[in-house]
Amino acid sequence: MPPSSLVPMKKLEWILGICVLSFGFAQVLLRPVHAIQNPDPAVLVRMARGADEGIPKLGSEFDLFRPYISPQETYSFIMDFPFNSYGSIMKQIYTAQSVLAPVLLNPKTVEKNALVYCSNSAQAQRRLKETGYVLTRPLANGKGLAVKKS
Amino acid sequence: MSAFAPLLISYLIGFLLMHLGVSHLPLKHKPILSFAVAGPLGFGIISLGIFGGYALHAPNGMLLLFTALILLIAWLLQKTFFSAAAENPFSFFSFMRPPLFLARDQRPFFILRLLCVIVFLFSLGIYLKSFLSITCLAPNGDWDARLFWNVKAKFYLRQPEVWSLMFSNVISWSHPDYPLLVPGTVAWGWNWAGHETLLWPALAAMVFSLSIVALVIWHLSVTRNFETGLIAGSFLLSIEFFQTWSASQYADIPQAFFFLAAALFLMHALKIKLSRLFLLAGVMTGFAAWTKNEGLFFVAWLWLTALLYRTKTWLASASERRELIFLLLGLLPALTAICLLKGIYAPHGDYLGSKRTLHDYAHLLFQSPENTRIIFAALKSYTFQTAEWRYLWHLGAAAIGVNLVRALHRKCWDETWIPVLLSVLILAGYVLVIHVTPHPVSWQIKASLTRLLMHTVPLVLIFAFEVLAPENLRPPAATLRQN
Repeated sequence: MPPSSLVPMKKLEWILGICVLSFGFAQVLLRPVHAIQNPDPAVLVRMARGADEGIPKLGSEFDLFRPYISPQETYSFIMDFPFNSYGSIMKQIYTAQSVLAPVLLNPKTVEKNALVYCSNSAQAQRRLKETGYVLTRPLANGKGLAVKKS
Repeated sequence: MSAFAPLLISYLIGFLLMHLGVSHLPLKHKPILSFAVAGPLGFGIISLGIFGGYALHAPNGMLLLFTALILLIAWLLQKTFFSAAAENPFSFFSFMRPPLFLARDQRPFFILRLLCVIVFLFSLGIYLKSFLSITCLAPNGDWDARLFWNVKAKFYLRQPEVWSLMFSNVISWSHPDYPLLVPGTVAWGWNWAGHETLLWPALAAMVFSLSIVALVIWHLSVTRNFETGLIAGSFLLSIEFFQTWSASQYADIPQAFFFLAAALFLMHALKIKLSRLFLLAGVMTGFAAWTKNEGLFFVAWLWLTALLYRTKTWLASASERRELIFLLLGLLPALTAICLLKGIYAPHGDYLGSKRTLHDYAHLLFQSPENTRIIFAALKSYTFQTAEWRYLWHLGAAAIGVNLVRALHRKCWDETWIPVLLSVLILAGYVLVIHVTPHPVSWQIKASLTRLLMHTVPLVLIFAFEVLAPENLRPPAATLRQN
């Protein structure tokens, strides 16, 4: 038989435990802090099929470079502004790298070849002048391949 | 279908290995444990295999992996079904006996259990809705997933002969020295699909998340009762940060899984003193380090904890020394891969090989009281003052208080302290890392603190429920009378 002093202690622990479980119960049933949107069934069906057709592709705007680049080369990546790790511009090169891997993109303008990805031709011309590159193959407005001036 | 074959093979490998690991061990609810660990264990082994295959001969890396996996599965099947010593895997499922013939006095508890199951299914439904909603909004995963982790998987797959370009310092912003468990897992599924399908990374992320929930249920079912396990599992599923980070496809939920699994195996290993559990604790710790750099800290913390629990005897007996050898053996495969990665492929990282001296680190640590103040203020506000955690940290703090009173009363510091001890050590490590980060401290806090806290959430949760929840739902007077 357990000592009689153990019973109140056990009872106290048991009451505390039941309170904690009830608290857990209540938390589960509470409304979330942020409302949950309903998932888009069309996207889910497309994903489940595995083909992903119709779902916007990440960084598809960088696909235009694909036919002209090779993983044997490293390319500088020229944008409207110089690379800054904490600026919003970094998203562009990160996304481009994700799309064009295994080709390496260098945010520093030190490579012989460069990919130019500016918002328009005027910006591209300005940045080419600043960085010492010359456009060799224009691909779209402000986009193209460039080579460092010797 | 293309996503289910890689999932099935990962589960098969993980399940057979777990079956071998825990068969004949005096552990309750082994099937729940095996299913909880099987998926992530399979992913871990396969990601190590991919890295090994590519390191040996990149153009045929996947072929080498498949050969190794076929041999491994054949060996595991032979061991499971044809070895006289092995436990019949089908006896595993005997626990599923329907509770039709409960004794009369147990019937109210069956209704309670049913209620817990309904609540669990409700919270699982909410979790799935949230997961799918976030996945629909960002099918490529969140920032780190699509720009770091999945990019590494693309290096594995697109042109295997130049896979090592992923370690190039030219793309230092993509953290070339980051471990490769998540990229390996993603590459594994994509290789089966034949293209970079959006389904697989999301599915793998869900496997890690639900495995944490299953592990929480298993542990609390063993140490407390099944109902407590279900309520704690529901609680975890309802934490909004858990929902968000699991759908983000980041490596933080896998990291949290391996932290939890290693801690639980260590707890049970110290309790029942069986070498195989130390081996499993070592394997899980190794995979934690193979998931994120933070896992390397965890290796040190887990060893420190294991040694602390052996300070009474100072490893006097041969069996205790053997336990630690098994812990080390479990760590070895992943540690070897990490040494190869950081020593040969990517020697320059944010911290290791960053050319900063010890003096620089000491200066950052001790000469910046303002940063220290900011970090601790952020810790307080990101834990106790953030509603999305659903008061988990308050519950954890209450559990520390109760367990402290209990320990002083009973003069016994048992294994229940392990999760909280590890959590404190993990968070202390992160505080140090945030001090010496190459980024601005406030930026680092905003970018990572919630995710870092997430690593310890399952540990705090099981500690809180293990300490505070009753061992038996029956009132104690009745239990004692029965005894």
